[in-house]
Amino acid sequence: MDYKVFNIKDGDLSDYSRLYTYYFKKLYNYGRKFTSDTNIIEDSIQDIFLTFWKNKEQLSSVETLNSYLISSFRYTLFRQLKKAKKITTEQESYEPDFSVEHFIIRKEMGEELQKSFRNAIQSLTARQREAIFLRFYEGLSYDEIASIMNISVKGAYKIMARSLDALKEMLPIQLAVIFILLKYHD
Amino acid sequence: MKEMDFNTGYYADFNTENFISDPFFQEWVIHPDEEKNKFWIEFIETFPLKKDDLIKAKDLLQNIAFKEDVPSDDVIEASFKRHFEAINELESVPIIPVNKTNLFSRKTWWIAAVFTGALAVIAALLFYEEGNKRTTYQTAFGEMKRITLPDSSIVMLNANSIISFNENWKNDVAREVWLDGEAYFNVRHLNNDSRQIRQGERFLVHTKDLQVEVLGTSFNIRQRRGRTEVVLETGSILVTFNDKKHQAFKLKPGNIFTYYPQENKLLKDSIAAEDYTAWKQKKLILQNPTIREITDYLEDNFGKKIVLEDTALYNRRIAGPILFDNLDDALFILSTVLNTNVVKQDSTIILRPR
Repeated sequence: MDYKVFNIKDGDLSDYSRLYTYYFKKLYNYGRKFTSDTNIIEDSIQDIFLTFWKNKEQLSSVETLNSYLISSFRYTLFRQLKKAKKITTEQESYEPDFSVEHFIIRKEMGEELQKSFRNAIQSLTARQREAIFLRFYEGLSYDEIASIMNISVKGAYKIMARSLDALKEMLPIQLAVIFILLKYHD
Repeated sequence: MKEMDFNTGYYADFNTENFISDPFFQEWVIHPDEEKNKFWIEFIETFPLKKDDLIKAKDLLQNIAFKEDVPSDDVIEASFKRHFEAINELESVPIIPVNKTNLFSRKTWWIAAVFTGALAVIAALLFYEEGNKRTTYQTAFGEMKRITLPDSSIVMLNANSIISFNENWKNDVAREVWLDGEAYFNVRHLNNDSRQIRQGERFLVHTKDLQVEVLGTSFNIRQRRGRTEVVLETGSILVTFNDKKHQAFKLKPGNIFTYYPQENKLLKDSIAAEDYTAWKQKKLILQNPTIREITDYLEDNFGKKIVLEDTALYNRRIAGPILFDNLDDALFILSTVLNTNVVKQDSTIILRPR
């Protein structure tokens, strides 16, 4: 996506509103993997775009805009989710969970297969599921995943290797029908 | 790409599991390009016994999928309004949108494009720009549309494309259209005196990366996969670039010009223009095309992903016209030539060796 410092003084908002729309969809989809509370998701997007606006002159590099917006969104969302959790349950050490339900399972897959698929996904940690999402759905590099999940690049490789290990358990079964591809590229 | 340094021999002992975990292999599955395809085709040619393992690994990775949570238009619009008010408070001078109704108009047809699917829908949406109504035509996958412009010039809009223009054209303002996708233009010539060209006699086509300016002529613009191709049948046209590094130039009839903005590459070549624009007659005639070029074309125009299990076939060349009145016919011919079966899986079509 093209990005330049928006010449908004002239009142031309169309580039900026397009950028906002594009990322709203992306971040909304990402945020929904952790929570069904769409208000918190929307607030987080508001927050990070306000910060973005204030710093737009500094944030002028196309290469890093994508991972900058995703990682600051994740940080803000997690902080707000933790805060909300603390108020309602007084739980201190809460980590948002990348929900298992968001993996797609093919309908025509036999019950046996569905079950073992679900088990494989379930056996992953929330971070492993998230890493798979960022790598294979968002198509991000290990460097980007590391910066978004706030871990070392080495750590990102490690998380991915472990998640794929767990999925490999599924290998003996007919592979082509285990997962289904639904990714849209723009 | 630095990973390209190691040779295919590195993978000689890999099994499916090893492939799945290999970052360079993953990179190919997630972001395939010509260079990576070449590497893995070479690998299969060198180690044909590894083909099954490789395909299994690719299948697994490609089939990881997630539910998509899509916010409604209203939610996005309300959120942007809220954000707009917030940033306005930060500015010392308030921002006044020039064309408020215009703000979300693009989104409307964009969303329509996503949800209409195979339905042949022309989204003719109107919005205001300096008091002039903007008309937008859009074709679905597999659809073609003949459009008459306000000056009675003719546009054939190919599948999966969008064109827009102002509804009223004035004599003292250049004729302008905006194109995303592929279209063939037959532009009405208004100028009688080439030494004196009035604004209203100019005709401009804007694409993402370049402009084509003409007085009256017939030509084709194909803007797909990040590159733009311009083919001229008759007359002469002036090509100018958004990237000011590149100088404007005139294209001659029977020539094809290809622009790759990402690689900053410009190519000129001669071509049989009537073959290139044969899509208007629902015929696809490429000059000794590779299978890859044909599947790319079918993907762009019919919206299905086409996968050849035997990736070596992508580089095969075939001669002669392929009728593509509909996708099934094109696939039938392709699978006969390649000796494959056609396997349909949702929006993906797999050509599997018999």
